[in-house]
Amino acid sequence: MDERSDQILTAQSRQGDKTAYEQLVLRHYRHVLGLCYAILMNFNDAQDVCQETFLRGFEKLQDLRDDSLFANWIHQIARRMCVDGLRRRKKSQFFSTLNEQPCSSDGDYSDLTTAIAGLPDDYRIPLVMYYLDGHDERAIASHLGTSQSTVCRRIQTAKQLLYERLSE
Amino acid sequence: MNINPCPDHKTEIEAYCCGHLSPAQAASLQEHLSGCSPCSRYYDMLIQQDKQLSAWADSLDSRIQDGQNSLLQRLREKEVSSAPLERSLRYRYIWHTAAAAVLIAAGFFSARLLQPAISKEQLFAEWSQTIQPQMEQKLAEAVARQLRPELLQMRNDLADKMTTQISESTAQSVALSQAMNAKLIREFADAVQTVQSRDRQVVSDALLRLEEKRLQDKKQTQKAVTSLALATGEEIARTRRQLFEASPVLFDSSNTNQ
Repeated sequence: MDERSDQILTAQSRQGDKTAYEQLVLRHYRHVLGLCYAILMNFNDAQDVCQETFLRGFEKLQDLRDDSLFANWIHQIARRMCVDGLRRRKKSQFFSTLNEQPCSSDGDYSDLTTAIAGLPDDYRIPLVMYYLDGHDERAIASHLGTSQSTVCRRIQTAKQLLYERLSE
Repeated sequence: MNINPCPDHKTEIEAYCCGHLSPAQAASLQEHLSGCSPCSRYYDMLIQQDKQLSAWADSLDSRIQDGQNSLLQRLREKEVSSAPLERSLRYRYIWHTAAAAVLIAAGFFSARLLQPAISKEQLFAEWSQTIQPQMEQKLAEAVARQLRPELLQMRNDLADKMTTQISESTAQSVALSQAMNAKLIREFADAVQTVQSRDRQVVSDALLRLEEKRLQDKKQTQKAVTSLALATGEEIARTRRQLFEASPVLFDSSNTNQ
């Protein structure tokens, strides 16, 4: 695991060091993907938006003023692109599925993903980010602007809501 | 089925599932769970949901890895085409400006040469006095205008790179210095401990020798006292014998008086 901080990697990426930006991708990909999937609830669409987020981030590195805030900045880009994606999904066929329909390739977990998609945003987003990104409550709390204990409570409440829906 | 734990313990159970309780708190909660069915069912439900969600996330792992690899590949392809194009556009502008200057010069000479009764010397004199300085100035301004942003960018990039390198090498120097200080402190502590151990050994040996000497002296003293006692006893006996031989009457009368 590369031990350079986000600040150093971002500064080096801006100077053209491609391996530095790749390290940023490896470090933050799953977290951004978790956010995209939590908003879009379609895995293929989430992967596409996640990839476009990092590509746009690479082009727009000059706009980042504080290199130590790369994680928050890339999440903001991802969130904006997801919101744009949801808007476009309503208007056109840009995305492969209809609104709030789980991807057909969810297989054995289609009931679970349908139930997750039906959760309120405040519970669904931390839940999906938690399980896709290796249980990093601190990072989730930082990106959502809340405390670690709040994230914990919302995740457990989400589990109870899922249980009630799946038991019906 | 509704699962409703005790209101007093619901938050605690959720914190326990997140690993936020201390060992003492966890032990206390486990004791409660063993005696409270609603709380125990709530805890079991959370654990079951955790397992199901973890399995779901694991099932996405290979697709996530594929997506990540695809992105890295796209990034590598993207980088190659971006920077050189900008530079070529800039230098193209400079060449265009130079080409325009040459055309203007060619136009001037053509126009002048077509006029009647003008010699080559007059033509070149007019050119070098009026047109050439103006064209040189305009060409220099155009080149400076185009190169200035690039030079500024290069200067900023070098400054950033130098700052980053200075920060990194300072951090490395501090870390190295701290590591060396720690090593020196450890070596000093080891040396002190060795010296202390050696001193303790020396003192211990000295005490042992003192003790042995003391015991030896004690034996000798005891021996001398015993010898002295024997000698004294013999001396006393001899003296009594001598006194008796010298004055047996005196010795007898003194015994009678007693």
